[in-house]
Formats: sequence, structure tokens, C-alpha cells
Amino acid sequence: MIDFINYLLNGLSLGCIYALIAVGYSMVYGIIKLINFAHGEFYMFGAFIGYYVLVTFFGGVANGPDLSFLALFSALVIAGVATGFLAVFIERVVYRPLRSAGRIVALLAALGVSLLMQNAGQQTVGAKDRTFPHTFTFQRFPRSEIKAADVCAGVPAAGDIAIVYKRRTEKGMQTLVENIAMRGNKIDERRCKRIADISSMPESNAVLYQYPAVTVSNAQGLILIVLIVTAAALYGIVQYTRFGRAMRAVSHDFEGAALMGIDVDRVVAGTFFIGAFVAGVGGTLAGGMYYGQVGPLMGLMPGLKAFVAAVFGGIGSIPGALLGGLLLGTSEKLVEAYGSSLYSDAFTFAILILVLVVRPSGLLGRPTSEKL
Amino acid sequence: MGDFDRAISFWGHHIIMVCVWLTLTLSLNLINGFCGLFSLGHQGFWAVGAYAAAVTVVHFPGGGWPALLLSFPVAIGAAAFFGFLVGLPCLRLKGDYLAIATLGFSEILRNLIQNSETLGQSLGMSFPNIIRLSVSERRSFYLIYIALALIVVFATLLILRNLIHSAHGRAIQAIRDDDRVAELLGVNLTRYKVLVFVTGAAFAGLAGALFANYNAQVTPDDFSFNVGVLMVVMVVLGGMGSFTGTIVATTLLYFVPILLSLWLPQTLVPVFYDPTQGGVVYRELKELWQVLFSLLLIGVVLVRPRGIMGGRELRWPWRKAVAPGGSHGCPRN
Repeated sequence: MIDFINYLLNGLSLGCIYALIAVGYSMVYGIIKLINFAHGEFYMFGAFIGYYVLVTFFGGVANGPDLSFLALFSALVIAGVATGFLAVFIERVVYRPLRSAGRIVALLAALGVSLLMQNAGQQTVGAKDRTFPHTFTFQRFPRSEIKAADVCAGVPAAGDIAIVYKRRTEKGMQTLVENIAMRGNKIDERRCKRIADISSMPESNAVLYQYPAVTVSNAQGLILIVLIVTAAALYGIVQYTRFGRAMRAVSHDFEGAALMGIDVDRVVAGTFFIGAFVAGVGGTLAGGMYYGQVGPLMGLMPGLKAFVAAVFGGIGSIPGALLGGLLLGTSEKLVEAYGSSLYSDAFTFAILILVLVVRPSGLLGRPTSEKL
Repeated sequence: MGDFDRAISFWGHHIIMVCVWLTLTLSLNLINGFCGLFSLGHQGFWAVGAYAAAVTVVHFPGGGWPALLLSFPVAIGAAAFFGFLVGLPCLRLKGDYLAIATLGFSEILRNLIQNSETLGQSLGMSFPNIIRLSVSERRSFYLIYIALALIVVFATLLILRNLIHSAHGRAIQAIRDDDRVAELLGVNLTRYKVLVFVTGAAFAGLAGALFANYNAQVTPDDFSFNVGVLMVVMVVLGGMGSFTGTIVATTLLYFVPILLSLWLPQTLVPVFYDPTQGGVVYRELKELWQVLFSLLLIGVVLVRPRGIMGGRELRWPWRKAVAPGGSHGCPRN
């Protein structure tokens, strides 16, 4: 039961990340009916902006000391704003001229932008993944140290965040590998192979904790807080501001809103900005600080998965995207834990197809009736 | 190695690969261009065909020529079967929902292949190249295979063209233009959509067998999402519903990157300022071809959103214009 809850919590943090990306997909689709395939690349772009802010202005290094709250905060905000402006620029140059050309052409342009950003990323920052600067120490709450009898392994390597330990269970001694960031990962064979060369490491290197109860890490907490703040802010903007009212109007009837004097171009640009802002923050927070690695292709899979989440929750609906992200992340982690970690991608896409076939409008989406 | 040999292994390779791509894009055009079903999962059917051919060549008792000959129908059959599997549940979907569902199918397929022991997981399968082993010279292998590839492309073109110009073809295009009217006029939507999916997938399977037997190696990365995107780009830029447009666009988009990487000078250009890489980053212009290619792609989409040919067919100037196979303009969406 404890394990189950831990898996669930882990799934929720993964789900928060999906939700942060999915929101942007959903908002843009709601306004101009465009599947912005470049959204995953916005996530990547944001992560790199955060990386450069931390490295250049705050002297962040991979194995360095904890950085100040100011560093953390400004990395997130600058990443968000920069990504937002990039999205507005791309919308202006690529998507706006194609707005009347049909959805398939716009989809194609989005695929082109995504390809361009991946290629440009590989040529500028390099194709290899980089280690994100250390921002804060992951800690789990509550925690207690493992007794010496249970332990015969150590921390894999300096800077590596996996913990390896052995535990006595009903089945005998079991080797467990724990990624501090992601408690609840069942060990797969690929990881177990690494244990052999790790276990010979001197015990003095070992930093070992055991988690007898349901635990939450401060990183997970931070992600959850960011998601809640984002959701609340989006709700406030959409429901209570002039801009939000304009957004809802444009989403409801694009041409009608234009006829009523709403500056449609500004609303679309603003929507892109907000969606990309959230994706950029998500990239720095999740891709960078949580997973600890940034690379030019890092947006591809999260982008696709987040899209699935958006469709799952009902594309065009912001609460739907949040709910879809959380559900998708949770179910993916549960499949990894109790099913097979190898097939979690197949599982995600199977959900997508099932949802599309059974209920194309998603969980919270309004079913659309076609005009004849 | 003589000049001729060198030329034929360079250009021969590209001619064969263009033929593989043409078979793929022509059949994708049947689904996307002529029937208006937007599929983003053609690479999945291609993968099914290639792996089916690979399994046949490896496991058929005796191997050799019988295995090679058998691998083509097996690949076509397997891909057609998957086309049926995918087509049936996706019939309810339209537009970009269908695109996403087909993309999902191909990703599921890739995930399953990557985890299958028999299919060699991420490393893929390597197997003997039967034609290469049975001829003594490199050049005869290429000549034989180029002939085979050209036959495949022409057969594909002929069959698809005849299909489009038949009564079935009219029905297929009617579905694209307005499916409700088509249904009212007695076109069996389910039957024709499944027919289109199965036919398109079958030709993708054929392309898979052609590719696998030439390359003698298949890996899951050959059939990634970006490959599918490139196929769709070729079809859309060629003009949805134009065979000649597809041929022109596929050939162009296949050769432009190669020519870019051949012809671009090795001049160093500054691309980026990166303090972590020690200041300004320089790259050879040659290495930037992918970036230029994607810029070019966006440019073409912006300048000619309806494709290079926009639904028209290129025809011989001395032939009289007959009723066009494709309708004019882009399908509505």
C-alpha cells in the first residue's frame, strides 16, 4: 500500500510536467485549431534558457552548492518570458500568414518549425545532452537512515542521483535502485547491470536513507506548487480579465469575435505567449532541475505525451489539459510499476487511440456538433 | 574501382532510395491526397513491411532466392493486414484527430518492435543480402536492384493511377470532397475508407520489402516519427491528389539535402555565442544543411501552401488534356 501511494505521488509529479506542457497545446488549439507540434520544442528552449541563466549569472555548476532562491526564481521567470517571446515571434512569422490556408498546412508548418528548432539546437548547443547545474538538494520527507545491516551498496558516482541499496524482503535480499528524484521506479534489468560495478564502491561514499513511509521530495513539492500557481493564474486570467474574456470569445467564434471589434491577432499572440511561458517554466523546472539533463531533442517525447494528455482531457479545455496530464502521468507510472516499464510508451498511445475512438471530445471537452 | 563503379554505388544507392520513397509517398497520397484521410503513420506500415520481409529472409527454410521472392508478398500482406487493423477503428475520426491516431499506432508499433527479441530490439535485424551474394560484381548488384526498384515504382504508379481513374477512384475522391454528399449518392464510406487504408498500407509494405532487401538491415530508427513527417511533407508540398506533383516533390526533397551536403562549402560560420563552449561557436556551412533544409521547408509551405503542383497533374505537352484525375485545389478541412 505504501509503495502504491509512492508510485502514485511519483506519477502525479510526472503528470504535473505533462500538464504544464499540455496547457499550451490546449490553449492554442482552442483559439486557432492548430496542433502546434513545436510546443515540445518550446519546452526544450525554456530548459536551455534556464540552463544559461543559471550558468552565466549565478555560476551554477553540475556538482556545485545549492543556489539561492533568487537564482531559482529568475531562471524560471526568464525562461518563461524568453520562450513566450519566441512563440510570439514564430506565430507572427510562420503561423499567421497560414491562418487561412487550412489546418493541414498549418500543421505541416508546425512540424517544420519543430524540425527547425531540433536541428538548430543540435548545431548550436550541440547534440549531446548536458548536465543541468545543481540548484537545490533533493530531500525526502520524512526520512530515516538505513541500518547498516540492510545496506551493502553506495551512491553510484559523484553527481549521480541514484541510490543503490539492498533490502531484505519476503523474497530474500533484493537489490533496489532508487533515483532520488523519482521514487517508485521499479528496477529494470538495464539498471541492475550497473549495480555490479557500483557495489564495489567504498562505503564512505554512501548516502543512504530508507523510506519506511509515504515520502514526498522537495522537488516534487516545488513542481506541484508551480502547477497549482499556474492553474490558478490561468483560471484568473481566463475568467476575470478583459484579455480572458476576449480569449473565450475568440475561441467560441473566431470571425464573430473579430467582427465585434476584438483584436484577434493580439489575442492569438497573447495565447501563444501564455502557453509558451508555461512550457518554458516547465522545461527549466522539470527537464532541467528535476531530471537534471537538457538536450536539443528533449522536447520530442514529452511534447507528444503532453499532446496525448491534452486530447485525453479534451483539447481546447484548460482544466481538461491539467486533468489529462495528471491522469496520464499517474497511469504511466503505475503501468511502469506494476506492468512493464518497457511498454509505457505503447500504453500511452493506446490510451490516446482509445479516447479518440470512444470519446473524441475528451474527458472535459465539449462535444462539437458539425454544421451541415 | 573504376569511375563507373564509384558513380553507380553513389547514385545507384540514391536512385534505389528515391524509388523506395516514391512508393511510399505515392501510396500515402492515395490516403492523404485522394481520399482526404490525413495519416501521419505511414512509416508504421513501412516498418511492418520491412520487418516482415526481414523475418521471411531470415527464417524461411533454405533461404536464398525463394525467400527473397517470398518476402515481397509477405511484406505486402502483413502491411495490408495492419492497414486493416488501423483503418477500421480510425474510420470515425477526421482531420487532425485521425492524424494523431495514426501517429499513435505507428509509435505503438515502434515501441513493440524495440522490445521484441525476435525483431532484434533497438539494434534491429541484419541478414544476408541475397542479390548481392549471388552476383560477383558490385555494379551488377546495383544494376539489378535499380531495375527492380524502377519496376516497383512504375507498377505502383500504374496501379494507383488506374485505381484513381476507375469508378472506385471517383468514389474515393468524392469522399474527400464531401463525405456526406458521397454517402448520400451511395458511396459506401466504410468500405472505401478501409479499401484506401489497406491499399496504401500494402504499397508501403512493398516499399518496406524493397528497402529491407536492399539494405539487408532494418532498425527501428529507420521508421521514426520524423521519417513519417518527411513523407507527409513530400505529399503535401507536391500537392494533395497529384501523382506527378508527388513525384516531383519527393525527388526534390530527397535530393536537396544530399546536394546541400555535397555542395555547401566548408567555410566556418559563427552560429552561436555560448560561454560554456568558450565563446563564439563556429560550424562548417556543410554541417548546417539540416537547418537550411528545415528553413527551406517552412519557406516552401509559406510561399506555396497548396503545394508545388496544387492538385494539377504535369502532362506531356503533346498529349491532349483529358479529364483530370485530381480535383483542382486543396481538399477542404
